[in-house]
Amino acid sequence: MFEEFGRRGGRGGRDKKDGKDKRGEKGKKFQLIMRRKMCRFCADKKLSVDYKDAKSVQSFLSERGRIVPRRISGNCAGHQREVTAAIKRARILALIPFTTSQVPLAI
Amino acid sequence: MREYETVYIAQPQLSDAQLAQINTKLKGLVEKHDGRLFFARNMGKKNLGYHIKKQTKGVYFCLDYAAAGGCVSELERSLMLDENILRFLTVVKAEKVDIDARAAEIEARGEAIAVTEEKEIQQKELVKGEGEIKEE
Repeated sequence: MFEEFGRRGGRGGRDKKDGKDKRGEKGKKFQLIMRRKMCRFCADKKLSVDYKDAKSVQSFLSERGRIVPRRISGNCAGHQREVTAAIKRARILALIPFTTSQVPLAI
Repeated sequence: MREYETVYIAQPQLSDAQLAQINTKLKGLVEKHDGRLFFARNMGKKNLGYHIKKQTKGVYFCLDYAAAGGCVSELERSLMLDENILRFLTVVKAEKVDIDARAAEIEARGEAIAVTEEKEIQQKELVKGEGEIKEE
């Protein structure tokens, strides 16, 4: 854990230095900020995950049927928790497989 | 009184009459415990994500009702004992419900019809069955 944080800090430091040295690259920095993902549920309040609807849950699953982490899906903590609960319920109801190794057996 | 939602998966080879029979039985159970069944929606026959009791398909039903906790355990017990049920899951939808308001809201959305439809199917099938018996 600490090592990771240390590395991140190091990178951040380097970036700052680069920014100071080359002021012409301000545009590049701006792009980085723009790329940051927004939680799609916070952005659109009407959106919601329903465990009964396999399609709505499917977008938060990897090819192997694992739950996509927050840093990739871009969800906020609260909504990620909702998504996780919905996925687990959908798995119990066999709307989604627990693992994809079970799928060839089913067909 | 809480609002619950129970989804259950029935065996795929069951006829409409048998499915309706299960639903009316569950409706009776809810009403026996002073609960109120808002709707019983048929979500259709779906492929299962994995085998359950050697089945690859199942018929999904969604029950929405307001009842006390004792009713839920009773309902789940009857689902557990029924061999035609592959799997079920009960979820609390709301801690407090205004039963009449909720019923009116669901009726406005046109979802309450499902229960009556199933009853009609059952009655039709029963009439058919009686006819067949008479013919024999």
